[in-house]
Amino acid sequence: MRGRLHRMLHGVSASRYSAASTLLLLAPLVILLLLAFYLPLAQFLSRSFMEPTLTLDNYARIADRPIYATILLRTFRTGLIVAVGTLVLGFPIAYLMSTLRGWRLVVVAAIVVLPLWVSVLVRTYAWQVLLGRNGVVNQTLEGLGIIDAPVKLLNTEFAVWLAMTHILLPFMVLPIYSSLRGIPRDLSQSAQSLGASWPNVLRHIILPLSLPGVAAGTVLVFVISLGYFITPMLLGGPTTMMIASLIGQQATKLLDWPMASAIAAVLLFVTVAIMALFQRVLRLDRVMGNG
Amino acid sequence: MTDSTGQALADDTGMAGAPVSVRDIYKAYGSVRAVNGVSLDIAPGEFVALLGPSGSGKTTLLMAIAGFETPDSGEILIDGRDIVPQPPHKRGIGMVFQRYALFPHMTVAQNIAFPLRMRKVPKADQQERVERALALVRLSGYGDRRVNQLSGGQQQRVAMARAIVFDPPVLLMDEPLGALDKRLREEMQIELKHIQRQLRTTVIYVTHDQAEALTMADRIAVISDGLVQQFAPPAEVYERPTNAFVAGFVGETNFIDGTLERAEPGSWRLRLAGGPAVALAGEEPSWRVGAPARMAIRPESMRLDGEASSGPLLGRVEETIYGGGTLACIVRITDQVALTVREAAAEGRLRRTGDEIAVSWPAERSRVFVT
Repeated sequence: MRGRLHRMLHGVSASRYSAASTLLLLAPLVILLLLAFYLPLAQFLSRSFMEPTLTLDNYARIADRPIYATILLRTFRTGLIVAVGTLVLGFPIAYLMSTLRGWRLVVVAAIVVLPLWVSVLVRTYAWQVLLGRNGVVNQTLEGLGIIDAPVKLLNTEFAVWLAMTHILLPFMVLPIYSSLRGIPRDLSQSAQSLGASWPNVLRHIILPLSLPGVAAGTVLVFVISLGYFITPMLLGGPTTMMIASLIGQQATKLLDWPMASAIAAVLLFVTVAIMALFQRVLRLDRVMGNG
Repeated sequence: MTDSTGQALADDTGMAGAPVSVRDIYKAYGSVRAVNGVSLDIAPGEFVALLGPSGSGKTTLLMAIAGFETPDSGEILIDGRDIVPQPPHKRGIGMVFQRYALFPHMTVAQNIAFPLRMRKVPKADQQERVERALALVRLSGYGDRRVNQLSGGQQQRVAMARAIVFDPPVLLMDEPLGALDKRLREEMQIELKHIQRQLRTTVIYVTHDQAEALTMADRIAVISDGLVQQFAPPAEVYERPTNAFVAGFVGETNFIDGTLERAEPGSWRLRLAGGPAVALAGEEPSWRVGAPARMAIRPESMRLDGEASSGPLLGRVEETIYGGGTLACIVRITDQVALTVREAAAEGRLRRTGDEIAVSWPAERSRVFVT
């Protein structure tokens, strides 16, 4: 498998296409990315230290006022909690899917994927309805006698975590499923025949071999949630602002583009740093190389 | 079994395999009866091959012994204890899988140590036993390699070492040599047999390769349609097959269909459809005058242009196939019947396509099954 992939990526393409034709084939995408993404990004980020003249004032402001650090920290905390939440909920689902075949698999896969076809806005509003003062959750809890008066669920960080975990769950389930699906069945059988109980099979065989999928899902969910805008705004309220809302506010409400761009630069830098750390700790290249 | 902290891998101190008794095992998938009432008694330290075509039920039976299939009914006794209610990881049976099933995220040594780790064998003992297992499969010094750095034959040996390192009294093997090329396969057959003799483990070995079964097994259970067709030592299976299926599946066989007739009491013949009759030796209780029957004879039992107690059948040489030491000569007798005769290559060189030739054989070498 790995050999075939390797040939596909290196051997065959390198032997069939010359360097020039490879470049030519890549050119359309590269040009599009350069013009439509990297150039505007560079332009936008450059405003953080170019306006009105060369200055680091904007960065100094971010460092000075604790509110920025608080929001940045809250954003990363949310990303982490959502990543862990989707992992804990998503792994069993992915595992279940990997054991299913035929129509059962189709049904479960549909349940996992279908929400992706519904707009994030709609799903967020649905949570608003559920978590409201007289929402389903409060009414149920009251009906069961667990609480006496409605609890404040909306406009809390918890509401944001809950909704984002729900919305981002497919991005965790699918990579893990694909990784689990690639583990040959006879590996867990052979582990059992060698004396491993089911928890041991899970711990020593299935978990380590699904690590590339777990890592991919975690990175995906974490990074997506860092930039999440609508859900935190609608469910978290003004007191639990996240960094994407802050950037939006600076740019569109306060029209302070240099500041918005400075915050975006900090977010980008910290995200890249965290990813680099993640890569080092998990040694993803090695894990994947073993497959 | 040895105790978990003590000696690894049976030496001359007398550890041996356990007896295995399969009793009336049935297993159906929907309306398909995969295993349809199989009973086998296997002696301690015996090497038994389950031989059959794909879909015969041999793998289902093996998986039932391993614990990955639950039989609908029946018992499987190891050392006199029924293991059917036990989960696979408690059965203490070693198993070598068709595609080796080595753990790709572990080194060779970690793979082999896995069953010891699961049994909480102390680290120091683990290391020593892994070394001995590696030595036994002639892979000393390979412990730190990654599994995907090994060749197919080496992976096969690691799988073997891993399956025996915890001294299982019974070792199951599911077509373990199927993925190797012919030469390596034949080498490994001898090596596996050698290791098994050293360990005196009871081995149950699934294969569809009759040559492999004949080479390696103490006894062969020929399985088809979920039933044991014959359970006997290789020579007996080859020379005295109990039915036409066994005769056809194990080794090369010529079949001749006809009807039984009796010239005089005790002297039976088989009459070919619209053709001559050939003499049979002896008598079987199932034989009836006029009954349709199928005769089986091995190609190497037949002679061309020679004198023998049965035949001759006259025909023409249709083709000769050179096979190194031997030469197969296909002789067309009638439209329906063509016989393959295998001779030493030196004699066979005389045959030419189209030659008229007589085929005969010693009557006692043929087997006749009423159909």
